[in-house]
Amino acid sequence: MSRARALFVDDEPRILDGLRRSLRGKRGEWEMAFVSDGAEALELLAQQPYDVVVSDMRMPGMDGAELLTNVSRRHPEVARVVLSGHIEPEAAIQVAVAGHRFLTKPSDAESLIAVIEQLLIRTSSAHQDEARRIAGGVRAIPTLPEHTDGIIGLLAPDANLSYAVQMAMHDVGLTAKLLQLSNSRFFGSRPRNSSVESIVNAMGVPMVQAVAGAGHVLRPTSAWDPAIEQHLRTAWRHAVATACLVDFVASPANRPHAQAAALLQDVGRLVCLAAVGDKEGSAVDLDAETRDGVPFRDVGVELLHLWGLPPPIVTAVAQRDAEQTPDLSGLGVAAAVRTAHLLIQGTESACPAAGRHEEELAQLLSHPQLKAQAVDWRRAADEASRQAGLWHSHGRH
Amino acid sequence: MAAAPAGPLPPGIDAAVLAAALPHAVWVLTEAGAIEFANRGPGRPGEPWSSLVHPEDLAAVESTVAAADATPYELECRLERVDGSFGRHSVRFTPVDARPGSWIATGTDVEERAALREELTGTRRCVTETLSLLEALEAAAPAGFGFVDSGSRLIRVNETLAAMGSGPRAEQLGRPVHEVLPGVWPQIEANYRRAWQTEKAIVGTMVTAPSPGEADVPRAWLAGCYPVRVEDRMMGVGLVLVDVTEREQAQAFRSVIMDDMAEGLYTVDGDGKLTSMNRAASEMLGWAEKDLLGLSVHATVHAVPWHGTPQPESECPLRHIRTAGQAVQTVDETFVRRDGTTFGVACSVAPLETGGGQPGAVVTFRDMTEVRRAELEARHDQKLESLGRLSAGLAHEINTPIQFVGDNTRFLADAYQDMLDLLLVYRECMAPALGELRWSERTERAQRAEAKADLEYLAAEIPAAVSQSLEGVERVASLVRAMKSFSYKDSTEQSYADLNEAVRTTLTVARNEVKYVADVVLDLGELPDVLCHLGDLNQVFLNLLVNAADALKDQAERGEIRISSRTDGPAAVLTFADNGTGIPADIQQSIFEPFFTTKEVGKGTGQGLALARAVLEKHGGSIEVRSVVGEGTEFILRLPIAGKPDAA
Repeated sequence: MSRARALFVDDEPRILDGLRRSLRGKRGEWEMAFVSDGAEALELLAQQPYDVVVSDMRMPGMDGAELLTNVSRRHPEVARVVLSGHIEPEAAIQVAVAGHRFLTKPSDAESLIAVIEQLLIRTSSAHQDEARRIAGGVRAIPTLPEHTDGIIGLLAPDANLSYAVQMAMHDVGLTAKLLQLSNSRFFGSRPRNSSVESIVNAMGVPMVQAVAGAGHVLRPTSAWDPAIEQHLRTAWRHAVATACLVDFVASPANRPHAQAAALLQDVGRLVCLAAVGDKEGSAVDLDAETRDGVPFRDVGVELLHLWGLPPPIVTAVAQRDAEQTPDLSGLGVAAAVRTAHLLIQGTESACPAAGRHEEELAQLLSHPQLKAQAVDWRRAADEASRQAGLWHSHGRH
Repeated sequence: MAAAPAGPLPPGIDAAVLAAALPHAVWVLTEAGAIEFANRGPGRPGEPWSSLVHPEDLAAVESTVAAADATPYELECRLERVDGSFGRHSVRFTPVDARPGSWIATGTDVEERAALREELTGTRRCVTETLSLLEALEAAAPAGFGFVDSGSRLIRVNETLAAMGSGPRAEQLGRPVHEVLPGVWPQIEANYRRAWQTEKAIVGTMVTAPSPGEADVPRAWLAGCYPVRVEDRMMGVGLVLVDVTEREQAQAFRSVIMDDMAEGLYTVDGDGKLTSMNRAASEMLGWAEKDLLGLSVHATVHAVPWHGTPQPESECPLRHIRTAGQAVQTVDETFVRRDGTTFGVACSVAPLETGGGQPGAVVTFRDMTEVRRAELEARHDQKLESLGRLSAGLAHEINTPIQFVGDNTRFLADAYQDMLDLLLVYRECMAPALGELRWSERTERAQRAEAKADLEYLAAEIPAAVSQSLEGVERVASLVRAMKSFSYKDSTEQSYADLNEAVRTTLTVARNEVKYVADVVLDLGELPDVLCHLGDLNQVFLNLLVNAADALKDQAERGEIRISSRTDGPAAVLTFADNGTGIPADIQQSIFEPFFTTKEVGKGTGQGLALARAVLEKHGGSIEVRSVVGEGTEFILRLPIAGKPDAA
């Protein structure tokens, strides 16, 4: 296997010198190039394939956001890392849609090395490069037409915190983006096992609005194909219902991750279906659930991995359709999501593409962690499904 | 029509006696017209009566006489008097029944009566004229006229006065005045009585009454009662009511303005003594108007206490303005309250001609305490705003060197380890313990270790890593020094400072705002130290620099900011020029106004240039802008090197 290739862009030569020296230990594993402006970086990318590009944000001429946006269009397979000394939130949002990972100056070499090494891992075993290419090009996750009003409502100057929490918790794209940002070091603190609710609380409404707004402008303005839209709506309702239910299924410690994983379980489907009828002529096969031959799930998992979401979430999404045999000591995030998913399969919010697996479900429901609770799980699932339906019709008004 | 005689003539009284007693001429005439008897002259018996007639009247008389039949008739003509003059006479001819053909003529000299009659006619015309004039005046004047006689009856009334009462004017005449003017009369009655008693005019009473045409709108009238005497006899009282509503309103308007205006206002006479002051002035100064009236305003409220001794009035700038006779918009002064505390005011002074002598003045003034506090706050806000903006850039300017200093140090740590490993190999090679080991074997080991350590690379990179680390540390240090110098806190006193150094400091602090959009060219000439408030000037330089960067931000090409300094006589001149978008001529006027901004909401408070102007003015300097759209903008700052001219 050829050596991994990383490209570093910064207008400050001292920074490049410093990086070159501090990353010298990786010279056996990586091939590294250092350039001082965006145009030069694009030239290099056009000549040779790269795995990762690490860019400063504010540069004379082409700035980091512009460079990374260009990279996402021309070279979607290249993972994009922002390494910036700027702390203004506006700037942060600007790159939030352009980059995959965010690091602030000063960052120690270990953090940078760790991020690059993570990004060198492809999650899809069968479709490494294709999954990376499709997922890498995604800058914002599509939303349903009926949710657009909700997003616009969130952007209103008088939007309050609880409204922002409600919107974020029910919007796949917003949830993913907020998790991506909060798990980067961009906001200073170390990544925590945080629920979407606590992320919104910590960021505050204006930041959430900025994030939602940045994603909003990237969404396609043309209408969905009606059949596709119906398909998406079903998947969406299923995700919301599972997220409602998993709140009861997962242990308190696992709840934030389980909820996020439940909501993001079909994110691959969303981003793949968004490509139906796009300019690139992507081949989306609804029956096989593939885009350009790559399963939706592989794309989704690769996306969440690229965006740096916490591994338990990525694993739970990856394993949603895999049979779970949890350890008796605890259900874990993946099994909790799988359990909630299978319970929802017995309700109105079922996802037709996935099966019922009644035996496995019975097995899971007999897990000591669930047995210990005096809950009629199927009734709880119906209630969660009803809630999800309500949210939908609410969103539609 | 001869009346029967009342009886026979008493004894001793004959007709001749009787005739002689009459104050008329009596003639007995013959049928031929000759005088047969005359009780006195003119005319003697035997003369024709017609000879007495004035030749010019003769024809008329003769034709009358010829036409006469035997009945009495009269005529008028001029007859000769005894003294030979002619006088107009009325002549009556009566036929004598007892002597047919004979006539008795009586003549009465009517010359005096005619004159009297003429005089009477003249007098009557004169009265008519006077009356019509009076009536015309009564009708036309915007005043109420009336005349009340001794019996309190309204004898005369014009329409205006009549409209204040009840019923049409014609019906009011001659009726008791309290009946026809029920609204007005109670307000005038007392004066009417006094006018009667004192026989003097009583004027100046305000009366409220409606006016003709506008019955619903009461108006203000100034009522006067004038006694009318004819040959020392009181005939009645004339009423005159003048409409003073406008005057009253104007007066009320004036006093409302005077008393409710927020500005203090006072007037002084030619000697500087207070003649009036409004409520605001009284509240601000703590003096009641009555306590200050007639006192010198300068001595009581206007002195400059921080000079210790009060300023003599001869040096009072307000007095200078007053005596110079020119209105002055605003002068900043300090007034003293009654309790001795002082406050800053902005005064405007206008001369007030009072007729003769030195002119007085109207002085209006505003308490500037709040305004100055607000100015201070605005300046503080602006400082915070630019600090907030700077802090993000400063963080970047510090984070960048820290990043590469960290990277280099990490490299140096690794390199040290590699070198140490190599050294240990060398030491091992040198160790006697190796005993018999061949030299070539030792050399080979050392070379292997050198290759592993990549000694060439280390030898090249370690010095660079060290010098770049030191450079990074110096960058942070100089930035921190610049920040400290930039945020230099001014004392209230000015001090000497190197403005070129201040420009460089500002540039260091704002480097991150500028470096992505423009190159900065410094063209700093020799400048002596300038007496100034350096902290304020730093702020001005920063504002101009950041504005220039903003003007270049949206340009396709990298811009240029040129900062120059030079001396020009007693002034230091600094210019900040950019080759950005320029400022359209129509808004160049407004850019120095507070809160004027072309930046989007949240990007600027619009205080930057307003503050710059305020700071420059405080220094006795100036700031001006030259800008051409599409070419760029230049701000030119002038500062007196020796500080504000009149500052201590």
